[in-house]
Amino acid sequence: MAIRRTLLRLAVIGLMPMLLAGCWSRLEVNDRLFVSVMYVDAGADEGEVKLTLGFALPNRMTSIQQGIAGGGGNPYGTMSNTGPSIAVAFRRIQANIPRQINWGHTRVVVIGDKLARQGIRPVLEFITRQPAMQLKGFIFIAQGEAHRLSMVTPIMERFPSEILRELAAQKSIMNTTARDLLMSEPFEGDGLIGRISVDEVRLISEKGKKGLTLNNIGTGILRNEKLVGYLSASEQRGAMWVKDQMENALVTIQSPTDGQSIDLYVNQASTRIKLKQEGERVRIRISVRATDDVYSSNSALDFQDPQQIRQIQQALNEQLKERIERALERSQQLGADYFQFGSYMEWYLPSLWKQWKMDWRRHYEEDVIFEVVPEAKVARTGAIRSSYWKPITPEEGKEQR
Amino acid sequence: MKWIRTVKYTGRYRRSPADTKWSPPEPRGSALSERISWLERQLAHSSDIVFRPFAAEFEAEAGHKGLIVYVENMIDTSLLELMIHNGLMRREPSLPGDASILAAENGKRSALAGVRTTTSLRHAVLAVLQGQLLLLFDDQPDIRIYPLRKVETRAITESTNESVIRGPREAFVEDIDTNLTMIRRRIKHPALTTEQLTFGTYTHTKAMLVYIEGICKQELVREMKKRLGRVEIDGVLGSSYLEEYIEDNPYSPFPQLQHTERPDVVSASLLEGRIALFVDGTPIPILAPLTLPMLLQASEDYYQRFIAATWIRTLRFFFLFVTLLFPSIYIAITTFHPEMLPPTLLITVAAARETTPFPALVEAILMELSFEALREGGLRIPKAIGQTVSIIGALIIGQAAVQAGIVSAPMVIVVSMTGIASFIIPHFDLGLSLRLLRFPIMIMAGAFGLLGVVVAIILIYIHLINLRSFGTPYLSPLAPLRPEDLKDVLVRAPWWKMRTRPHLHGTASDQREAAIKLPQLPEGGWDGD
Repeated sequence: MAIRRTLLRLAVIGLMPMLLAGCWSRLEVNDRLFVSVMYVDAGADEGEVKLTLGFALPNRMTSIQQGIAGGGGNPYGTMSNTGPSIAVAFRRIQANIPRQINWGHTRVVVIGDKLARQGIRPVLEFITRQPAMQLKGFIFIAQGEAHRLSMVTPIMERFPSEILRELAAQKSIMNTTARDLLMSEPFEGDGLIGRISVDEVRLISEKGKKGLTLNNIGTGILRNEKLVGYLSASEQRGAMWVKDQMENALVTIQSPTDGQSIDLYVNQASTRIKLKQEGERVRIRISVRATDDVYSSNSALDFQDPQQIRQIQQALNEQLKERIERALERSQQLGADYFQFGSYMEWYLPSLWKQWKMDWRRHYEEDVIFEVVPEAKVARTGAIRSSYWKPITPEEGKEQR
Repeated sequence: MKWIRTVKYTGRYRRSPADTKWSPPEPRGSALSERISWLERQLAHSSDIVFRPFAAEFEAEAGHKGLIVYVENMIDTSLLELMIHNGLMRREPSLPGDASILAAENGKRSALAGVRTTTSLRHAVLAVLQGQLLLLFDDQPDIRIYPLRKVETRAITESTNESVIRGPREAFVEDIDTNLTMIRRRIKHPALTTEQLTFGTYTHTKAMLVYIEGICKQELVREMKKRLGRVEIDGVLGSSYLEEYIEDNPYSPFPQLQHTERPDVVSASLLEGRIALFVDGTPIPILAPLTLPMLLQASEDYYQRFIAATWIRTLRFFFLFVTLLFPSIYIAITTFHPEMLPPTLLITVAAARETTPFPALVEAILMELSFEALREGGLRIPKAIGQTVSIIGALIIGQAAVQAGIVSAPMVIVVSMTGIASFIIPHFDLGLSLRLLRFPIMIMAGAFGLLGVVVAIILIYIHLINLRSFGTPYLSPLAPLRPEDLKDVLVRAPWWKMRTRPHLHGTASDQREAAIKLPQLPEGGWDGD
C-alpha cells in the first residue's frame, strides 16, 4: 500500500511539471532556419547596417528526399534587411520569415570593407551576445560589398559559405576567428583578418556560364578594431609565419649555384617567440623552424651533396627572413600590434608591460627590435634525389658513364 | 489518496484452511475395507486411477487380501508385472504372518530399490498422484510406496535462448531430477547441497534449493528459505511464480533474480557462492543474488579467450547506454540543441525531417511502439509463418513509411540501432526493462531536452543504488566499489587472474584458485632446439 502511494505521488509529481513546462525551447528541426553565414555591410545611409543571412535550404536537398522536393533552384538562399543596428536588421529579417533563426551553425562572418573601416565592434558585440553563436566561427573582410559573396557559385561544396569555412580550416587563408579578435581587445583591438574578393569568371562546370568565384587577396589590418590597411598576399605569408599558422606553403627560391628556380613545399612549420629586455628596449626574437620538401627543381643543383643542400637552406632562410621582416616592419609602421606582442609582453616581461601598457603603441613603434631566426631544413628531395635530366657538365658526365 | 486504499484483504480473499492444506481425516484402523473405501472416496472419481484388489496366493497366506493403487500411464508397467509375478504371486513356502511378504519384497528385488513405507494414507495418496504405486495389506498398518513412476519427459536438447559457440550445448529440461543430475555431473563434491521444498496446495510442485555448503553464505540460504516459506499459493507452474514472491523490490523494472537454462551457468554461479532454485516443470532455474554487471556477462565470455571476451564485454556496456538513451538523445538534440550536431549532419537530418508531419517525439514513440509490436509479434507468431513479420516489418515500417514521408529516415536508423542494441544484452529480462525505461526517458527528452535526459538518468541511478538482491547491492562491485571484483565487470580477466571468488556477502573474499606460474619456454629451449 505504501509503495503504491509513493508511486502515485511520484507519478503526480512527475506529470505536473510536464504540463507546466510547455516545452519552452522545443522546436523541431524543420521549424528552424540555420544561418550558416552572416554578411554585414555598411548601409547606404550613415549609421545604417545591411545584414544578409545565408542559410541552407534542407527542403531543396533533392538528393535526400527524392521526388518530394521540387527540382531546380539552389539548396541555399539569403535574406537581407537593413537597420540602424545589426540586431534591428536581424529582427526585421526574422519578422518576414516563417522559421526561427538559429545561430548555432553560423561558422562564417563576412564584413564589408566600408563597415570594417568604420569599425567591427558592433559585429563582435552582436556575436558575443548570441549564446548559440560559435566563437570559433571565422571572420573575413570582403573587398567591396560583403553580400556579393553569397552569389558565388559553389562548385565543389554545397553552399558558398562552405568554401570560406573550408579554406580557413585548411589554413590556406588567414583564419581569424571571433575569439581571436575578442582576445585582442585588451591589446588595443589590433588584428589581422583574411580578405576576400569576388571575381567573375566563366565556369566550365556550369556549362560555360559566367559565375563568381572567391579569391584570397591578402589580409586586412585592424587597428583599434578598425580596418586601416592591407597586407599583400606575400606580406600575408610573412604574417602567417609569425602567427604560426603557416601550413601548406610553397616557397620558390633561386638556386644558389645557377640561379634557376627551385620550388620547396613547407611541410611542417613552427614559430617560437621569445622576448628579452635590453635596457630601455625589448628584443623580440622570432625563431621559425620549417621542414621542406622539394617539389620541383629547374636547377642543376645536386641534391645528393650535403654542401649544396646547405646552400639551398641558406637561400631559403634568407627568403623567409625577408618575408617575415617585411610583415613586421609594416606592423611597426602602422603602429598596429596585430601580432599581439603585447600579450607576450604581459607574459614574459610583466613589470615592463605595466609601465608600457598605457603607451604601448608608441613603445611598440620605437622600443621594439625584431630578430628573425629562420631555420629551414630540406627533409625530402622527392622520388629521385637529383634531377632525372643529368646536367651536362663534362667532368661529371665522364665520371658517371 | 484515499481511493487507492479501498482494496483491503477482506474475508472474501482469505484462504480457508482447506485451501491451504489438503488434510481430510483418516480412518483409524488398519482394516483394508475401511481404507479402501477411504481411498476410493478420495481418488475414485478419477477414471485413470487404478484400484486393484488381490488375494495373495502363498500357501501360508492364501486369501490374504491386498490392494494396489496407481495412476494409469504414470507407472512403468513392465516393472509392475515383474513385481506382481515374482513377488506377490510366487508360490513358495514363506514365513508365517505379514512379515513374510515384507521380507520377500524388501530382500530380493533390486529393481524395486527405494521402496518406502508409510502409515499415513494422506501421504500415500500424494505419492500415488506423483506416479508411485501403493501396496497395502489387510490388517497391516504399513503402506508400501513403490517408485515405479515412468512419465514421458523431453530429452535434453541444445540451449536455444543462451546459445554459445565454444561452450557446452546442453540445456535444462522440465524434469527436475534430470536437471539436478546435470548439476551433480558437474560438481562432484559432498558440499553440493540440495534441499527439497514443495509448493502449491494443488500442484504440490517439487522445488530444490541448491547451493555449495561453505561457499554459499549461510545467511543467504536462511533468507531464501525464509522468503520461500511465506509462499502459499494454489499452484506453482514455473519458477517465475516463486521469483515474484522473493524479489526484494517487486515494483522495480529491473530483474533481481537471474534465470538461465544452462547447467554450466548454474554450476558456475554455485561455485561463486550463489544459490539456485530449481522448480519441477520449469527448465529455467532461478539464481540469487543478482547484480547488474552479472546481467552483462554472457556464458560465452568464459569460453572465449579473455581478450576477445573483454572486447565484447566493453561493447555490451556501451550498447547498454545506446539502448537506453539513443532515441531520447536524438529527440533532445534535434529539438532542443541543434547546435550540438555537426553542420553537415544537421542539414542531412533537417532535409530528412522536412516532410515528416509529426514532431520528433511523436515520431520516435510511434516507431518504438511499432518496433516493440513487431518484436512481440515475431515471438508469438507460429514459426511456420514467422517470415511474414520480418517482411511486413522491413517493408512497411522501414521502406514504405520513409518513402511516404511519414517517418524520417534518421529516425528509422535510430530505432533499429536501439533495437539491435537491446538484443546485444545477453539477458532478455534486462533488455526488456531497458526498453521499457526508454519510453519515460523519451518523454522527458521531448519535454525538457538533455536536461530531462540527465534527470531521468539520475533517477534511474538513484533507484539502482537503492536496489538490492538478497542483500547484495545491485550495482556491486561498481557501487559500492570493490576494486578486487572489477576483474569480471568491464573486463573479463584471464582465468589465472581471477584468484578470489566474487564477493557477495560479508567482508572476506576467498581464494578460489592457487597462484600459478604461467607457461614459459624452458631455459635452454626444448629438446632438440
